[in-house]
Amino acid sequence: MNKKNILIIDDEKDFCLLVKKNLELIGDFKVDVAFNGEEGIKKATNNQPDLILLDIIMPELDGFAVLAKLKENRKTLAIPVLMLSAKEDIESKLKAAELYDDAYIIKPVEASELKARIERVLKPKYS
Amino acid sequence: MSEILIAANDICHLDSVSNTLELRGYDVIRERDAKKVLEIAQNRKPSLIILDTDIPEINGYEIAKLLKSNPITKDMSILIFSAKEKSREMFKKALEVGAEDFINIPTTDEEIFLRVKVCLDRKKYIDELKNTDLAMRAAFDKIKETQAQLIQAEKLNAIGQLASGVAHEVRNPLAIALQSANYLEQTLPIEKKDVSETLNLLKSSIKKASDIITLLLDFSKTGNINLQPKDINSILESSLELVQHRMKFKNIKITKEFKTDIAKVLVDKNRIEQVFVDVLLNSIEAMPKGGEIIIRTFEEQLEKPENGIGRRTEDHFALGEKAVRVEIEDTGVGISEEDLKRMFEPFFTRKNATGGIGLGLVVSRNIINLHHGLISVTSKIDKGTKVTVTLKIAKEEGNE
Repeated sequence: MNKKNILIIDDEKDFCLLVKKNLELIGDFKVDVAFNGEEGIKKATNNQPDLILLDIIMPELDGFAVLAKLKENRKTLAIPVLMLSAKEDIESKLKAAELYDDAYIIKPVEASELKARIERVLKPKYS
Repeated sequence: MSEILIAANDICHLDSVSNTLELRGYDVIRERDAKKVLEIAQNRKPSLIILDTDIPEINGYEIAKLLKSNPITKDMSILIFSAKEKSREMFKKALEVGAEDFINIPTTDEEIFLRVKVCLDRKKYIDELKNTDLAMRAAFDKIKETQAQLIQAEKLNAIGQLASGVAHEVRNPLAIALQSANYLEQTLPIEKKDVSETLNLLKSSIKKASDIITLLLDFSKTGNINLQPKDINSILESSLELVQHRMKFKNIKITKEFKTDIAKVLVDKNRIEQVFVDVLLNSIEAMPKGGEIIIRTFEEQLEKPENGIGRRTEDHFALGEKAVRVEIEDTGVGISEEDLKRMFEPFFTRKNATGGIGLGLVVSRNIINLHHGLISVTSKIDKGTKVTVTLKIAKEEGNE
């Protein structure tokens, strides 16, 4: 089976690289990283990943803005997006839901949970 | 017009003073019997009582003394008069028993009228002053209360801002730490006991730090609550279910003394459940060797003034109001008097060994406050602890 392509968009470089290592280690994924919103949108459009992990608080383009742009673009609107944020408030969760996120995960999160959530979102595509 | 009670045994004295005042437009009650004077003073509360010194059985001075010693009549204005000589001695005596003034008769109508007027005016000013004083005290209490609430709100607000800032700043490094731990789990020889123990310690510390942030955010959330009429017994049942797993193998007996058909309470089910779960977890923790948790629900007419009941306008409950009470009592280790006083202080904790951070009860009290309810704790070392929650009864209409 082909490895699923995951794109992480998060300004915390260390976090991105560790998540990449872990997911590739425990899951059947190939993980690419983008350290800001602009770069993330570019990579999403060009590389068409199977799923995007998206942080919220980032300089310049924040996660909500990135999500909105992804869902406006015909090339990226069908890619599932999992919000991965330290923000726990209900307003943020609602805002992400209104912008069509697929799941909202609060940091810190265990790699095994992250893997399970990604697989659940990707599952319908397998069948 | 002011009502004046005039007491004299001698009908001539009685008439002469009464007529003088009636002619000036005052309402006068005439009385010759000392005991009746006391009765009338108590029941009709006249603006002024004028007493002849010369009344059989109980003389004017004695009547004045009795009036001054009765809490109902002690503030009444009294004027004593006498037809006897030696007025200076009598005047002194009159003042000693608490009279405002003394008149020696016979005298002119003008003097009687003026002395009465001075007494009534003085009484009026004193009453006004007293009322103003009461109003000012009430206003002062209100200001103090509001100030305390403002300080509390300000504190919560400050903690809230701090917490949400901290939440982001701390969770990100925690997220990195957890991912690092996960990576090490995959790459280190996990079969080595000390490696896996160290990794577990690292992960549980990360989780604890993250929980503290969640609690801090919760604590400062004064937010909106969704009040609905609910059955308190079923909320307690579901709270018990939530802590069931923590009681496993702990030899804890649960005794439920629920009042059937209890009045519905006005609550936000989830928030109240949070309070009960927290109280139950505390009880479980207080009984490491097992024990009993007794949960009672009942309705009660609040007849006794307590903290939060009946004393001030801001109190959540009025005297005589019917409320629903929940008692959760355990047979655990108990809490010392000193600790009990500090139970509701933020960050005060007795659970150092198990890692509580001391916000649970404060959050609970905040939640109960949002419900305009009360929460109190009583405890005895080695006997156990009882938490009492008092909640508002929902009005009849609109019950679910």
